[in-house]
Amino acid sequence: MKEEKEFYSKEQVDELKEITNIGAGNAATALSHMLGKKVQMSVPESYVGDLAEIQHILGESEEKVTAVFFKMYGDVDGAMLMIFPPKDALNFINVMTKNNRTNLKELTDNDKSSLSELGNILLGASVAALGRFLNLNILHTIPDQANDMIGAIMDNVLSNLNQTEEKVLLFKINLKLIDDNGVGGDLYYLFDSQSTKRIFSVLNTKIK
Amino acid sequence: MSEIIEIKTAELYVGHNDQVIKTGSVGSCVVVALYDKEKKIGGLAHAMLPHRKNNIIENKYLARYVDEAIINLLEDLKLAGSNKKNLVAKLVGGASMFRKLTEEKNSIGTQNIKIARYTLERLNIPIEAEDTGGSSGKMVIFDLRTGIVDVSTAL
Repeated sequence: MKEEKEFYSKEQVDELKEITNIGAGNAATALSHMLGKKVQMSVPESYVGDLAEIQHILGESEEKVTAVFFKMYGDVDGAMLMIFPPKDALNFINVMTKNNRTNLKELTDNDKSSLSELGNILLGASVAALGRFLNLNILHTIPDQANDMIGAIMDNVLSNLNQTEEKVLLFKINLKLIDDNGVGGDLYYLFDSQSTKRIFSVLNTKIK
Repeated sequence: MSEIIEIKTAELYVGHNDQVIKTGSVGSCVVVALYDKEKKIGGLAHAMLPHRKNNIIENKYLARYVDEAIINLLEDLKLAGSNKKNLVAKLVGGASMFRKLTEEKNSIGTQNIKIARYTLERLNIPIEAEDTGGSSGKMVIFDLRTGIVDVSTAL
């Protein structure tokens, strides 16, 4: 078994999916507490592929979105994103700031910052849970925000992640407020190949 | 009506006069358009990363890396009957959206543009126009009848 494994087995991906689920569960709980509303969480979707393949799956759309982005570092390298349809981003901002903005162009820095903060709380909660579960020290950068085509945002994120043909792993989970006409957003967790290997080795020792 | 060809990330296409090549959501990627005015042949490449960092040679994507994309585009144009002397280039893309995380001067977008300019200079292909850098994603439509590259944003 000298050959480097390029693909992960279905079981391995499922394990990691479960872990991401734990993280996202914490994010959902945080969101529910913060807004005092019920939150519905989808089953994670997973994608394995090199950067171009992932970009083809997710990023060829010209749909306009609002994204909050973090880089993970420390024991695990990767990225996390929260992606909202623009009207849902507005909705969250209005709930948090008690304003009534109708257009993304009206947003003040304060409004935008509140959305970044929402991302910070949700994704921060999930990173903390992941780190605790895996006994790994996972840190994340301050949030950054962009309004643009989803494809353009994804290519920025992906090309920052790693620059080889190695496979990366991506999980996507949808969070939705139940009683507000399905206002919600997608959480994306991306792990580079080194980190994926590290996570699996931790899991193996944990299980055995 | 001209035929519309759509290319994805890491792909390239070379076509002739009554075609239009389209590519969407260009963020830090760089899109290189080469056009031969004499013969009305042109090609578009949508490259993702600056240059190859390992030795794995794969033929799946001809335009994954900027430098290789330009060379492959040039080869295809030559095969289509174009003369290198008549070629002019246009560059689009190389944006950095997340300014807090990477300084613009170190971003992948900026590196992509640098490599594109350098490669074109080495090949003696003049750059006729550029819409590069900044912080917004772009859509590109390249009309091979006129050589006009139409760039739009989502905003």
